Amino acid sequence: MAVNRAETTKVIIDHREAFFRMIDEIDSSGQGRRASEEFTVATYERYLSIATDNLTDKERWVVLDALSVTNLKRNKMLVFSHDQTGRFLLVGWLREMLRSFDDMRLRGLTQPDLNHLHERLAVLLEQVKGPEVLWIDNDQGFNELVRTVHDVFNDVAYRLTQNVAALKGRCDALAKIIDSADYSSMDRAGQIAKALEEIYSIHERNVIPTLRFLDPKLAIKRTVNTGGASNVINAPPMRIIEQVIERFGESKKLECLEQLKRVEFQILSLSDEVTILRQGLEQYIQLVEAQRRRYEVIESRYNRLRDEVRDRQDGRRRGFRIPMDSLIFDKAAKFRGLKDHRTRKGGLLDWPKGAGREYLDEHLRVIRERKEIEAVISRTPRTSREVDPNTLKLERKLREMIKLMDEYSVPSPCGDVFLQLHDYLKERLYEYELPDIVEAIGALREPLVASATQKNRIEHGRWSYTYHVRSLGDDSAAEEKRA
Amino acid sequence: MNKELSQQIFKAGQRGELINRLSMTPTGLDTNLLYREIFENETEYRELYNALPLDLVSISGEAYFIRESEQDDPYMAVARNIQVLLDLIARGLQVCGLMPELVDPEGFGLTWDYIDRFDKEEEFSDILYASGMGRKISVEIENVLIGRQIASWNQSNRLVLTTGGSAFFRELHQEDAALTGVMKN
Repeated sequence: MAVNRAETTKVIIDHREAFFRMIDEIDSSGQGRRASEEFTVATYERYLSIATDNLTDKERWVVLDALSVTNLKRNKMLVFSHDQTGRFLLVGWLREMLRSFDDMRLRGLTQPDLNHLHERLAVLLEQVKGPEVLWIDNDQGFNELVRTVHDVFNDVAYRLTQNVAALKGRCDALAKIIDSADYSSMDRAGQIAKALEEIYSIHERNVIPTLRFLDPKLAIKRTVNTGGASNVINAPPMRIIEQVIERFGESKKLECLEQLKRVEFQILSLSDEVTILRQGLEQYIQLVEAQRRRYEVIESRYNRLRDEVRDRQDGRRRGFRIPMDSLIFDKAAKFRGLKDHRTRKGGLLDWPKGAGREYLDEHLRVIRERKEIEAVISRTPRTSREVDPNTLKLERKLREMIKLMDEYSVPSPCGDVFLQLHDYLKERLYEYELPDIVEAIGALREPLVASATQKNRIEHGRWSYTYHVRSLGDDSAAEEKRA
Repeated sequence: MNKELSQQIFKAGQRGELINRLSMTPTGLDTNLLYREIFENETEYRELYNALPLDLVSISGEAYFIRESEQDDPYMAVARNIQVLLDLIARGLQVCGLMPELVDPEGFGLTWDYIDRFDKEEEFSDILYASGMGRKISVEIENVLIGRQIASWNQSNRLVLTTGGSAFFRELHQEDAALTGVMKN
């Protein structure tokens, strides 16, 4: 059923939420889609269905009839509607009307938009300065020029006002997200990061160009196409506006002069608003810049670390670890000395010879017992042997004696090798007992000669040992013996 | 000085742990009694440890730890591991488009999904290995950062830094002249 244009507009306004959702979807989509404001029929119908869900059947059909693509097309409210692609575009005044309901959804002017306005003003100035203009009130050409000047001035003022409202609305919404400093979810943290980046983008792409546009002293050289020929505009936009107005003043068109001056002041007043907005954004810009610097530091630190590792990956089996004194670990110095001071996990200990050995033995025994208990707990089948602490002690003593005997050679001359050996071991071997000498004798490398008559007796602790005195044998005899 | 707390402080110091200003409890962050005990009697504790001889070190007022007094060859392995792990976590957050504040003590925390993702990063694995650690960042986070109270699991089982860990994390990524110099060179 056909619904007329006024009724359709009313229904659109009543159900603007559905359009807002589609606008938001476009605004949050990729750059390519964002540039155009086309809706797809499928999305449009989905949102319409949601928006009319709570209505009665009768009301629902009225709304769906009014907002159907066919009805919009009939009322010339669409720029186009492609059946093949399923896309359509609302006419400009409808799009602007919808966005103007909420400042947050208004679109800010970017540098290309501002360039376009600048060009229009430059073309206007050319026309105003043209020799063919007759500055006579009743001349049709003059009247058309006056109307054009008003149109351009009012349009520039309107678009800049919309622009400022858009920037304020969007920035306020973003600032709220950032000020909440809500890191209570991954999504929120991501939103804050995005909001910061968007504020930075608005500052760079909208706010700064707008301020430049509104600055009458800032000369920006641009080449524009005015009346089919390429001209260079040196004057800033606000200076062009002044020149247009001056031309009316020169021709004593005071009524027009007054009207145009009003528009100029309105435009200039926006400059203050944008300056205030920029000052408000300053703290967020600093935050973004600090954040970016932090990311740069993180990245450069990581790159240094990665390059250091890559440089060492040259196939060698040694030297691939970064040395502890590398400059790359400079900041770690703050935690130097942080370690587990407990014996079990501490650094390597330089255990003094002899002193405190009983503690070491006890420590080793405890470790051994603990490991056995752990083995039982883990229930892994393994062949374990019962270890007697005394066996452990003997094993250790034997290892130590072998090491000592490797270092020992009988001094020459030596009258009683056994006595000399006893003195040597007594000084060095921990918990030395006289029977240990029997093992030590077996490890002697030098040939010995036993005296048939001379005997000696060593007493040490609770042990005594009587033996025939041994002296160092003759080398030649030893050679023969070996042969 | 509280006898019971001083014993707990010494034990924590012996284990090579940070004593953080705030500690993670099942209901969230709360004042750490050990930290408060040191903070209120700092002079006495410093004298006590200096006599041992140990140093009581403060991390930007956010944590304390104990180390042996000046040595010719200070122990650096744990410090190095902490630095490397925090550098890798920062990089991981950056790559995933997450803000570093996510791992602040009161932040949302890093979920296991992300830590698993870091585990699969081959470069991370190589860096860990070249720095004397195992190849899995999840294991080293547990061993080094959790073990030393540089980080903890919050009540939702997500990784957050402790107050001391967070102070070091921030300091690590502040611009410094030396680093800028290296970058320019």
